Amino acid sequence: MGLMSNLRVAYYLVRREFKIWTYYRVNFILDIIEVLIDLVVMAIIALASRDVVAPKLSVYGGDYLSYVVLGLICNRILSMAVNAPYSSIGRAFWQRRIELFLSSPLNPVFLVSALSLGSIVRESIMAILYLVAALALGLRVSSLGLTSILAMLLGFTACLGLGLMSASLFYLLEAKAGSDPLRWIINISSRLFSGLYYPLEVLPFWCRYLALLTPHTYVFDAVRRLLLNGTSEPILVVHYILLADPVLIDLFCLLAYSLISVLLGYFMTKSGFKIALKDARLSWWS
Amino acid sequence: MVLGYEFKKGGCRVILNIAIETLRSRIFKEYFWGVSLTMSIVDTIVGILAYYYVALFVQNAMERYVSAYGVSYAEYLLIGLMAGVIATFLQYSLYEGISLGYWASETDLYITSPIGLKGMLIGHMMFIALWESVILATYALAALMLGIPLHLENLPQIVLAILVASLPMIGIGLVSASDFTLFNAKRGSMTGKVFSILQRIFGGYYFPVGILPQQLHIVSYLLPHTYFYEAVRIAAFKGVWITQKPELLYPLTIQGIILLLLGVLLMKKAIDKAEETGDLSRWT
Amino acid sequence: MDAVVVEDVYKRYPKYKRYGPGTALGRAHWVMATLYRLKGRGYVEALKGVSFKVSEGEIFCIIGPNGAGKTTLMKCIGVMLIPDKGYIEVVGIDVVKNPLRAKKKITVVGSGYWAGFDWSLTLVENLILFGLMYGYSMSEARSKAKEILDVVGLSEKANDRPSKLSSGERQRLSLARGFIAETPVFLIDEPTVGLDPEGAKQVRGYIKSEFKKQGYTLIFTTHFMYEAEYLADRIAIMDRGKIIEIGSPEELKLKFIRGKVIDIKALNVYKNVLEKLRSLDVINIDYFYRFGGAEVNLKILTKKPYEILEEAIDIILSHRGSLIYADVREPTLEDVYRIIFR
Repeated sequence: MGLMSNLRVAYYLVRREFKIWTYYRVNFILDIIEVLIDLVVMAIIALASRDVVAPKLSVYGGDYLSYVVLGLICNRILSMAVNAPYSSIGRAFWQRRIELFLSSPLNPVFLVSALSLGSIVRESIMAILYLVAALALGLRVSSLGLTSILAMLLGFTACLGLGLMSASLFYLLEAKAGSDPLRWIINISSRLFSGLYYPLEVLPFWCRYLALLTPHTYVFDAVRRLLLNGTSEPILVVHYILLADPVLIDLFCLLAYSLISVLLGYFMTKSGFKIALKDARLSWWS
Repeated sequence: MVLGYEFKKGGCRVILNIAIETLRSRIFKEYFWGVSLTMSIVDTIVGILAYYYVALFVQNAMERYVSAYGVSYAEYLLIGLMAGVIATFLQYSLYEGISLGYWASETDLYITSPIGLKGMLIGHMMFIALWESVILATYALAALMLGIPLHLENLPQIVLAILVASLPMIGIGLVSASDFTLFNAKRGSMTGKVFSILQRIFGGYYFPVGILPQQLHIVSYLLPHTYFYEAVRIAAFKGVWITQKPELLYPLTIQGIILLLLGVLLMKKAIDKAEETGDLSRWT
Repeated sequence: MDAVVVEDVYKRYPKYKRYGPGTALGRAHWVMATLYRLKGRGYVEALKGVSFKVSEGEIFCIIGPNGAGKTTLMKCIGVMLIPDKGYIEVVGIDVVKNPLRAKKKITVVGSGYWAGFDWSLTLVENLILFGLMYGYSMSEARSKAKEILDVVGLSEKANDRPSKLSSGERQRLSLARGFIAETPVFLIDEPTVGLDPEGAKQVRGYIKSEFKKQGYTLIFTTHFMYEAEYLADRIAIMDRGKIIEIGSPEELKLKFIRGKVIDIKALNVYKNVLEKLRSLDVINIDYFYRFGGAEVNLKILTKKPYEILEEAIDIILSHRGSLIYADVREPTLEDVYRIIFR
């Protein structure tokens, strides 16, 4: 299949995703509102406490509202990359579509990516809505430089690699019930140890080692320092070890993470499908 | 008439048997249930810890809003979360039971039997009640580990507050369940979502209503959740009986009656519509 | 040239717990599944040294009882399953070494495939997606989709969603998805299952005329013997993972049945009468009771049909049975199937 053919399929799958998303209209509107509620709730708490907690956030510019809202936006984008591949395969499997799709001459890894693309585009729109809502709630950021975009892109790539690895577990480990061990660990780690809702100083010091597990930590750190006029004070354990500019260290870690996770993800997904084809576990009716 | 038949012919025993069978199958159909439960408990603990550390971080700032209760913000938040587990069960378990049964094609099996879906739904709700009890126990355990007092000396007051404040929640649960057929809401109850959104911002779930701008308080006063959480909190923190608080008791009772009546009416309409259109069967 | 070559194919797969609809998989199901796999629960030997060839433009049918391995074989040829041993070639392409190239030459239509259609897209939109997957442009896929819906008799419902179709129409939609690709080789699992007689007749007619006209190679499975006999140039009979016979319908009939079949429908024919009938010079007797045992359909296979017919009628009438109908006919593939699997 040529590149144009693949692109046409990808485009159609994205279109299809939107159709499915908006099929139940009321649910669609309520889903959007529900997603923004997390943001609103945290924003209310942040607004009520911003003056008192400002000194504790000097590394990241001092504004708790901007701190937490920026973290939520980044988290939304990174979570989408982690979750999209698995949920695409899961949906195709449980809605009995996987056999139909794989009986066509599409490369399986391309198929997973194309199916995920729809979710990614949809979640990107949600992230933009998040950003608009955040700006309306009082988010104050400096101009978006190339470095912060690079940090986001690397974080996204790293998370996409993790997403592919997680998707491969659908067949490699029979993790078919909507939950695989890799994403479970990433979700726990990102919620608790990445600095999403609060700075890492709130946690016991040993938790900062656990913070290194997820790309989210590096992304939050780098993007906040860049967009909120942060300082160069070391926070993460790697900052103390490598002794360079924290943002550079974060970018370097993200780059290494991306390379490893994407390569692993690709090979694991390929193996997953191969094993499923061999063991007749590809579809519900194998 | 049908209920009369069931009582006379020992149908209630049949319903109970089906309910217990559904409960058992929900428990044991979940492969490796023990590990699933463990993972859910870990998730709950992680969630509690996340909230705890947020509360710790903003503690000093939130002091002025929770000082009336005489507790820390962490305590305020945790009791709210625990009450939320009960509210969630009451509001969503019936809808969830119908939805799960539909998508698992179980409704097709049961609607052709003389007792219909009652046994299946009761069994499902028993399962959810069991599950949520475990989650509540996890909250309690986490609170103990974090040194947050649970005020168990006020347990009778807490239980009474929950019982009274549950009435509107049950009404909402019936309304949510009726969405399934009345509005063809097969991918989530719209009523449930609307209330979920409202309670999280206006219901005093995460923070006192006083934090919100004055103009928004009217929304809070109209929501039964506001009184629900408030009743549970003052029972827990101050040992106050709900009967001693008419400003909570009366709105809860009135809202409870209205929502219960509305819920029963809508459920009846939903059942009639389902019988007419066959909406509860997946394979029409 | 051979369109499909299957040589000495073996396939076994590990026994796993299968999840039916309504199974609530716990979040830690992967723990159970991994332990289950480590324990090992034995294997299912689905294919044991299957070999055959199908020529270009041939219509080839595989029949056999449930569990014979027909679907497994179809999936191996259709690159939906990797065989453990052996060689499979489709239009000269090794399906194991070049799966994606092979898939461009094969269309697979499985039974129940209609369930995989998107229920939030219309029929046309669903088919366009599959057209795109086979490399058509958007406009080509759209016009092809409309043409195919016309062929399968669903053009009036082109803008409806699959949820609105009856079960027969959904099966036709599955076939439509198959026809959109226009690959040289088709694999169809039970083409007319779930269709009403008129719909089934249309589909068979289409296959018989269009496939021959276009020169497509078709391998299909079916449980309807008359369908196999009507459509297939050659038939393979499978049982327990092996092919036990291959031949044209006529060859199979000649090989397994020397004689004719007497069809009798009668009332009040009981076991004692059947015993007496068995004592006649017959090869095989099949019988089916209806209406609680009041009516019986007898199929008597014999080399002396007219002689045995007279004797059989005498026996039935002398035992106070009533004759409704009696006839002598040529054997069909169904008779062959019954002889083989009795």
